[in-house]
Amino acid sequence: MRQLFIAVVALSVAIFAGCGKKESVGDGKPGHIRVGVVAKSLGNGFFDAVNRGAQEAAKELDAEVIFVGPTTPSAEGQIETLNSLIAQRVDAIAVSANDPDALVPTLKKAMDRGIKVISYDSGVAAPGRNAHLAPSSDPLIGETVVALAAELAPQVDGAAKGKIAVVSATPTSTNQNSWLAEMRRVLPRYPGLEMVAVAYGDDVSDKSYREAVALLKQHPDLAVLVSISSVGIVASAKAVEDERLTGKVKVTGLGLPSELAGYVQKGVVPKFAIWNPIDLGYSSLQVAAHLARGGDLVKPVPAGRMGRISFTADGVGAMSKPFIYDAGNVAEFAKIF
Amino acid sequence: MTPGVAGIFARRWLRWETMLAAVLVAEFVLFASISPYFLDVYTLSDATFNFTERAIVALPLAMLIIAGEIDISVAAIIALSSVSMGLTASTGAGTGTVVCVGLGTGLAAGMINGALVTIGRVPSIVATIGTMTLFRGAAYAVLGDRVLKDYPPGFAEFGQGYLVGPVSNELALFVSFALLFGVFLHYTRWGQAIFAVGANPVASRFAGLAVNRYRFALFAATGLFSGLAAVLLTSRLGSTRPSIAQGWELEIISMVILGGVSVWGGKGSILGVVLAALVFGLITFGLGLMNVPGIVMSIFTGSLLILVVAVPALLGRLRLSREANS
Amino acid sequence: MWRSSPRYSDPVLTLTDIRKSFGGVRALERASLEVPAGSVTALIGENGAGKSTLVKILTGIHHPDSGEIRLDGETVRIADPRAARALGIGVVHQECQVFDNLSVAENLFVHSHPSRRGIVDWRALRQHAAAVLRDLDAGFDADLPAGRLSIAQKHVVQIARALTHESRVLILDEPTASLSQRECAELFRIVRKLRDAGRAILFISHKFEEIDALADRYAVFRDGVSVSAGALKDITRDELIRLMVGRPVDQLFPKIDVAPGRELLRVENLGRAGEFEDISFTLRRGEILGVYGLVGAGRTELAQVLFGVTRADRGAVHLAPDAVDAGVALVPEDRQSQGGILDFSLAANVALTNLARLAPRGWYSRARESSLAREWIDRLAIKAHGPAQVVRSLSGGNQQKVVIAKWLARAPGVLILDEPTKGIDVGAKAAVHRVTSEFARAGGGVIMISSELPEILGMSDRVLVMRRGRLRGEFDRASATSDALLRAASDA
Repeated sequence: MRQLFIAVVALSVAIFAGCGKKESVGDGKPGHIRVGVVAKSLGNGFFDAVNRGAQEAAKELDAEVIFVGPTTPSAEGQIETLNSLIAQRVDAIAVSANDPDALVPTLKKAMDRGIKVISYDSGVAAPGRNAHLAPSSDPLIGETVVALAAELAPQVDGAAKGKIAVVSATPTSTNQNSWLAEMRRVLPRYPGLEMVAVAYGDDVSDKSYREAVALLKQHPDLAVLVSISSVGIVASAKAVEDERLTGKVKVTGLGLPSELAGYVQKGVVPKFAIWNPIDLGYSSLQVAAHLARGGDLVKPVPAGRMGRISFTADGVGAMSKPFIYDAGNVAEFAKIF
Repeated sequence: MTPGVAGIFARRWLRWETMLAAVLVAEFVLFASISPYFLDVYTLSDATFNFTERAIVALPLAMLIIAGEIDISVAAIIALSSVSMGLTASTGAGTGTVVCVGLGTGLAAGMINGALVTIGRVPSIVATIGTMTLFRGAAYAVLGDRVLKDYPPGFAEFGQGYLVGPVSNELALFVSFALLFGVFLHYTRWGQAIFAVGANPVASRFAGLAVNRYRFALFAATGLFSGLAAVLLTSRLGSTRPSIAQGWELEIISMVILGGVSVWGGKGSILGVVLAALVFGLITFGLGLMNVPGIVMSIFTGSLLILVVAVPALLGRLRLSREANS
Repeated sequence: MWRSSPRYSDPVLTLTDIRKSFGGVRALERASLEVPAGSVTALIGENGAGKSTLVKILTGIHHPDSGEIRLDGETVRIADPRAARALGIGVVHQECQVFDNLSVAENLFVHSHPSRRGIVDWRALRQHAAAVLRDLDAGFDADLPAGRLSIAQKHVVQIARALTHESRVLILDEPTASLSQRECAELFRIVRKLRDAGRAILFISHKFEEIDALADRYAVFRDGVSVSAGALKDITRDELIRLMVGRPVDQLFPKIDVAPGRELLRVENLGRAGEFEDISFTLRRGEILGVYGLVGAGRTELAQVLFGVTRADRGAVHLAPDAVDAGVALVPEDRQSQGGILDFSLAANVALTNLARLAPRGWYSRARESSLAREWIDRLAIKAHGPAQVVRSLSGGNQQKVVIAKWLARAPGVLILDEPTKGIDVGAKAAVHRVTSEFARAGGGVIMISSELPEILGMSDRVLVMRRGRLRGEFDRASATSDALLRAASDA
């Protein structure tokens, strides 16, 4: 019992002694800042790429990146990570949230203690952040996808001409519907292109596949099959390959390099788009550093090689158009995500 | 045997808590010397949020394990309680109602576990693996990918508020319940009976103890405190998703075992569990301050657990073989 | 192989002057035994006469302190069970030692898989097993999981296992304790077949009808000494019983004569399916009621219903109104797993039945716990270093005293003792008997279940005899003789 008593006393002494010495903590140089970049979980190639971009920006900005994240993609784990960043008194935090709402109380605490908070990729509800950096925006996605379709369609007299069809996810999906609307808005810029059908694969592989096959059968003169869901684009590519239409019908849209690399090499999907995580990490750090150094969001924020990023009144900004992947770069990114 | 058999037992278990206290001091000194941010009242106060909710469940679970049973469903109960609180709150109910629903759901879930084990005679590990899937499944079935976040204004106080200065409501609750449970387990006849039930349920029954009544009550208490943890966690997060507290059951059980509670029942102390909770909480927070990745952290805590479980077993065998040789 | 022609005259196994004691308690003293080939020798004796010790010596679990074991005329040393098997000594235990999850064939060769360079030869194993089972007319398949067999069939598996080692000596240790009549007959048929093939068989049983049916020779043990041996046809059953009991039992037991008082407990037509039926009796204050019977007669099950661990299906138990609060206490037969918590201190064990009294408001105090324990250490002369000593480290007799103390400390109305002196030394035995008598004299009622005739005869005011779940007789002190009880218990 006595040993225990001594241990407890020693512990208390350690606590009080420690708390007594008020240590001034933090930055040595005035310009140097530290930014916590929080992943949804560690061991995920996407976030490793984000970290790469962030480190690149840090060199340009005399900043230090603390790249952290929980082992599993949980809000509770991310809160523990955030707490340790707050304790380290970083200057800014950029986080991709596992839960847009659960992080808010912790992030509010961070902001109360003078830390600038931005979310990237997966947003945090407005009260928990100073800004959100979306990788892209609905108009930019619509424009990019239609431009890709036009590029892949047969060229007649220097203009794209042909029929295109879309494989979407569910008819009620907010994202998909706003992207479709944007596509329809942009389409008149290419008078030779005609959107003949929209099919819904519900983000389920075999349903998407069946819908894609049906589209190919109904429209034998189809030029481009567009899918704006990562499940749908793989199913569409497989349908085209199985129907022996490779080269005749081109597939494009939004998808993941790791899932599409094979189809890119075979020529089924010559090009597709998705955001670039390295750019996202780079831009996130640019925005976070800008805020930490007292900058505001009223004017477009300078983001180095990514140009300038505008933010809306509620603090949401879009980084850029989706990044285009083709045979030249897909293999490299397939290793990442 | 030698006259010291009882003494060896007493010394050995006393040494366990002493060892944990030593580990705790070592952690303190280590982190304080490595990280300049560690020794700060508010930093340390923030650190307590890393473990208080889990530790609050670890207290009744320790008693349950001492009584020779186990509850794997604690984290699922937290999820279920949180979902029912969220649903209640979405109807516009006040803070009091919401909290009562959370505690009530936990208690009911615990009673289901207790009934399965005592009336249904299902081994507790089987029963609670079943209810774990059931409770978590129900949470997912009700909520899907929705989120509930319309909690009444005062509700945030439980998990985010402070009692005095840097002492959070959560910490205050944990400390009070730790004292309460410690006194109950070690200084009352019911506590003594819990040890007996765990050490030998058959002999306890033959000694006239209402073994099943103790088991049922402990399952109910574990459920109730899981409900309390759900109140605190939900209040701290301000929202409910069905994946809330995912994987916590293992962390909570780890705390109990690190605290020196025998998985075979009949042995353990609340002091040990409290120390283990602090050791766990500090180690994750301290390593976090040093930005050690979570994966390395799990390796660290995993090794600590194995060490702590294996070392006494090895020592025990060593002592036995020495006695056999002499 | 084992079909070689028998030579009746030569004793295959001879034990001469075997001595064995455990920590000062003598289990065997000048024990001698001959087991000839081609015959069944019945080993007869009371509980504690040394039969089990002898079996354990023959199977290599215990080693004799002195004496000689000869097998086929050569002196042998049986170091361990493996050596016993190698020498050709096989044993069929009372409790089935069969692995339910393994097939019959795997069970037969569990100690010695036929193998080539460590790889089990499954084909050879199955063929060999099938052959052995065919020889025994076993009537079940070698590939069957053993868990699906009846208890009798499991005994056959044990016999078959013994035969795979080409056993010349087969020991059957109360193999029929849990068998039905038909199963017994089947087992006996196989044993006779083996006898006719020239095996030497040692048969241990309490049941005279079985001994008559199967054995041709007998050997009687009493208190670790072999008192008589010969051919069964030359001796009557009465003489055998006298040889078994054979001592003036009455003086050993400090029975205090008490005039029985008012009725304390009345049991009416009590029954529990598969355990016992139609039990009616009364118990009065100051009375010690002995319950005699063979293992498996339903006595322990009856005690557990009276105590309240299990419930009766039929009938009623009435406790006198003034004894309801005091209640019924049970000192169970299995003190290691049911009686006490071995890892707890002596004091904690004694306190366990008295928690409400020690801590009326809930506050549990070690000081009160230890003073209660000290009181009972003195009263029962428990040999312990103190209240804090862990029960596991006490001797068997002292463990039993702790279990009794924890109930006496509660001052119950009725005390049920189930085999209270099984496996404990003479001194502890006397102490247990003394406190039992004192408890009765103070007005308590005692139900004492025992398989030891001297204990039953020496301690009881009245004796109930149970057999196969039913009461088979009630004897007062005058009419309770060992002869009468044995007859009632074994249906002779």
